[in-house]
Amino acid sequence: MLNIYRNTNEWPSFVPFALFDLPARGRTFSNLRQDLDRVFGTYEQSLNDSSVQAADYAQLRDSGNDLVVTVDLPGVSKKDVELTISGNSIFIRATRTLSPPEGYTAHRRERSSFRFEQAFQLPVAVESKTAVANLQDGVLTVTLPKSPITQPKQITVKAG
Amino acid sequence: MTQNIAETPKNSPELAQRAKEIVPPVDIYENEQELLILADLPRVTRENLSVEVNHPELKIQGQVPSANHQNDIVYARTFQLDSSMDVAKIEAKITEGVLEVHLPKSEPYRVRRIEVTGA
Repeated sequence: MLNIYRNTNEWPSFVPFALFDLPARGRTFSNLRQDLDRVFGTYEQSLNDSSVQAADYAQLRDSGNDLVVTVDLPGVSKKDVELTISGNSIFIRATRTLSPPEGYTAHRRERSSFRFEQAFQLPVAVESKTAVANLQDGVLTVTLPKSPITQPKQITVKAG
Repeated sequence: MTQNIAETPKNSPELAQRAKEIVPPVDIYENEQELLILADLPRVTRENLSVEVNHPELKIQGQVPSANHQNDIVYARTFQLDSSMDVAKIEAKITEGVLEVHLPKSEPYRVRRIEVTGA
């Protein structure tokens, strides 16, 4: 399991917000691809150059009680992933540094090093305390239980 | 450096109809003993991965099934091997969504250093 940093006040000052404006309220993961393209342009470009393709590597799923965020991070180890959850936003940072294996000559290099840094606005508030993050098969999965205040509640109407 | 691996341009068309087919990025390295292929295959588990050698083709295929099979993904890539590889000794493993295929060179193609003896 990964460490999740909970930050109830402000984002850490080192987050370079100037690079990517925080998604406005109501914007969700449908804009993710655009955001990624902007921030992550080099990765995309290297993929385009060699005509290989990427899957939709980040997804948000609503499973009822939880919001589930998944990001494809092949070859990224646990220590190179950092998560910060604050109210209804999540910040994910991950780095992959590739170097040719020692003693080998490269014939083809399509895989690239990358630095993934993105803050996302979630559609509802989540309980950061019970959030769980897992890195398996090159995929980061963050399960974010929705805050109870966002859950529908039935109110019984009493007769007078 | 010898050109001992080439790529087959198109993958199986019948798969593309059922699932989104993705060409994964690969690195190909060589040293004196072997060729090494690295491929990014996030979400692919060992069970859903096949590495097949049908000389001269080496085919890598990884499936990512989705709950309703509407969004299935197939990673596929095929390479042409020349005869310098020892097909029987090819080994593959997947860790953290990265596939490693080791293709040892057959004996006559390995680099061998011969000690020079003097009188």
